[in-house]
Amino acid sequence: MQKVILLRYGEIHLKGKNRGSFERLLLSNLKDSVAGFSCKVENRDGRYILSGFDENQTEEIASRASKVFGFVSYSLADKIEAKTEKIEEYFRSFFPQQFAGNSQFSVQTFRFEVKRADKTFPVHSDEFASHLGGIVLELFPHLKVDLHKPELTVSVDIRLGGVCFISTEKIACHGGLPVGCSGRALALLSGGIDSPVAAFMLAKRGMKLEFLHFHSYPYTSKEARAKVVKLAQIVRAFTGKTKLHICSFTHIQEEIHKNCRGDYMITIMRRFMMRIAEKMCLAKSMSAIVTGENLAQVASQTVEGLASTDAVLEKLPVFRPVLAFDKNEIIALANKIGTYQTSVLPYEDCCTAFLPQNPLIKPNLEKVEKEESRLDIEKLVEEAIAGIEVEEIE
Amino acid sequence: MIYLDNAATTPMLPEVVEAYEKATANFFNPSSLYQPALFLRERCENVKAKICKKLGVNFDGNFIFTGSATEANNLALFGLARKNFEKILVTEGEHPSVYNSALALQQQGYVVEFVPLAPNGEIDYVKLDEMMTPSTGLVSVIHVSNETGAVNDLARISRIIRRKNKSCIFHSDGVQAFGKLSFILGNFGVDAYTISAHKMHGPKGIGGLWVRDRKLLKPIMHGGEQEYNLRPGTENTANIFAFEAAVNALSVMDYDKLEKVCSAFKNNLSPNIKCNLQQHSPYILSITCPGVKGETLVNMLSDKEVYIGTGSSCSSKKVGNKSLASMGLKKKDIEGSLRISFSKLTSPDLAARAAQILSEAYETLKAKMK
Repeated sequence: MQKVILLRYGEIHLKGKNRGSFERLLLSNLKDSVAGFSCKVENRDGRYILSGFDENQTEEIASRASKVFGFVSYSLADKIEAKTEKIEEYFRSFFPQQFAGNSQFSVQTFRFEVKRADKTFPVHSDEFASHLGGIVLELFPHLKVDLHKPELTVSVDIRLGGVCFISTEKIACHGGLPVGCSGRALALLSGGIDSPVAAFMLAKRGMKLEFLHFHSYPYTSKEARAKVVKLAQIVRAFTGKTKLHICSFTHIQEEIHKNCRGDYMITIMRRFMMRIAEKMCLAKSMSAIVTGENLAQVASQTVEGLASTDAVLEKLPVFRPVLAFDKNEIIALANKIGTYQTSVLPYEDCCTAFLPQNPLIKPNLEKVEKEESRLDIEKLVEEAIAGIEVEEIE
Repeated sequence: MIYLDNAATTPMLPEVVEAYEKATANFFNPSSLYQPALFLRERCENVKAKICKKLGVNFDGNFIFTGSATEANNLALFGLARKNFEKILVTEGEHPSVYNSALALQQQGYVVEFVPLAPNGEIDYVKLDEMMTPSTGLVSVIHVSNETGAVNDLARISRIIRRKNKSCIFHSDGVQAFGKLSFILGNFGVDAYTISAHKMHGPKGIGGLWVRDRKLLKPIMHGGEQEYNLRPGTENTANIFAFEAAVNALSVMDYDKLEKVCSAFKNNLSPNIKCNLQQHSPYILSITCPGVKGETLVNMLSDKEVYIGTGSSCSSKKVGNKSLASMGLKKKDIEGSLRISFSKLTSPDLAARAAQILSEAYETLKAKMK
């Protein structure tokens, strides 16, 4: 008998002829997620199996694997030989030992769920389920079988190649598609609550992401920068290995402040961010920009504000997955991802430097362009890109 | 490097480090019954007597070592408060360890009121007189403000309190005063007084609470019988003897030296930078740099290896500065405020150089913010 972690995928089932490529990508992402652990990773006819690990590390390995997009659930399972007598023996000896004193056996009702991917297994699924149920009832006469709403479901999964996996709990993963199957994009990471959630959502649909953060040292602190690194590290559990590009925005802000009307500060700043992001994307053959913008959350995120930032983009789309969420919905997701507590650390982001009293709510594009014409836009963008520092988020 | 954040912490003196290292070799538990342990216990008591002598109070088993001044302030507030107190008064300019303890007492059902500060940074004595009632049971007033360096007149406060209620307990947080000001605590009419070692070149991880009569105090942690049953936990003997070394190193000359250091700093400041207080401890200087954010200057100076703070480091994460707000400064000015704090290791030349670097950075930044 061997302890294994068994992972099941979801949407990939719907893929047709190219399912194989999705499966291979999922396997590669799974391997990446547990890199550094001594552990065997394999895809066994649609089930992904982690085995051969140190049992003390089970929780950590399962936690990492469960964050790989594409999987819908996992179980901690026992792997045994798929022979009737071996399976019976398991339920007569190991199973009671394993669950003696376990709260799961305080249950009153149970059922067996037998699946045979290997149709050469001599006993039919339903028949075998009731046979095994009988063994358990002999050992624990107080239990009752309930096929509809059991408190405990014992899953017996007989796979090809003569192996059988036995588990009692299915733990939900995050679903989605394997990262890398939907192209590459650059996600803007501000340090706030929304942007890591936006990145999470696009990564969930299979986008391979790198991150871009704008900081305004010395107007913002080094702690603010460290916080964004920390956020990228948390999201990395979902996105896989990535890079955080840190762009100093200080000089651009100073130039806008010196040359343009105060109330245009935020609008013009965000247009610069988009220009820098698009230029970087094109240089890196990325296909989109991802932001955590949320309609009407702040003055710059009105429909007019968003339109004025989009107007600088020449080729690429901006994906704003949390555009129509309420804040509490975003917070719920941030808690689920584990970024919320870091996002709310009180370090100011670059938007607070030179913050105008009354930022424009409905910027007029012509006027914005007129204000901007006082700046050497191309040079400022080039300089900012040239000064970018890269943190590898391993 | 020019280090001007000595109100946050100070470097340990070489003799303090030496005393610490030497003391770690003596590993016995002072609560044990055999000779070397008994000897150690006696030495700890001698350190307390020495500290009390420096404070100018009697030592009669009434000084308690704690793990920090924050703990000592918690012990004071929670250990001195009694359910029958009609009211507890603290100032709006307390260190978070007193201020937040007072808020916690309020949550427990005590009536707690916060006395505002006067524009000179000291407690508003008139307001204190108004708010003090014959049944007010506990008053806590910081001796020297950690944010502004304002020195409260503890004797005057004590008189105001006693006029209304002779038996009211008076606690003061003396963390920025002990070893820095020359005073005789016994003359102030204070009942309990908090001190810290690492603000005066001692080690971190040790503070202390002197209490006039230890029967006033009840413990807030429960365990062994250490510290007269008032603060359980094995004594941190290495820190105690290192604290002693820091106390031994105090000199009556320090204060005069610090006045010169502080003046050298002020004399080299840009005329556009304002000092927030006319009179203050020479160890702490609160200034306002109008039109800019203090945090930006802290970052700019940090790049030049000049280290200063924006306010109390125990509350620097929060926007604002309670003391300056209570004194009536405008939000904009508070944003531009900085706390410069010196120690006896700061030379007047370094202070002057730091003021020049700060002034230059300020003028550069102000020009950009226009």
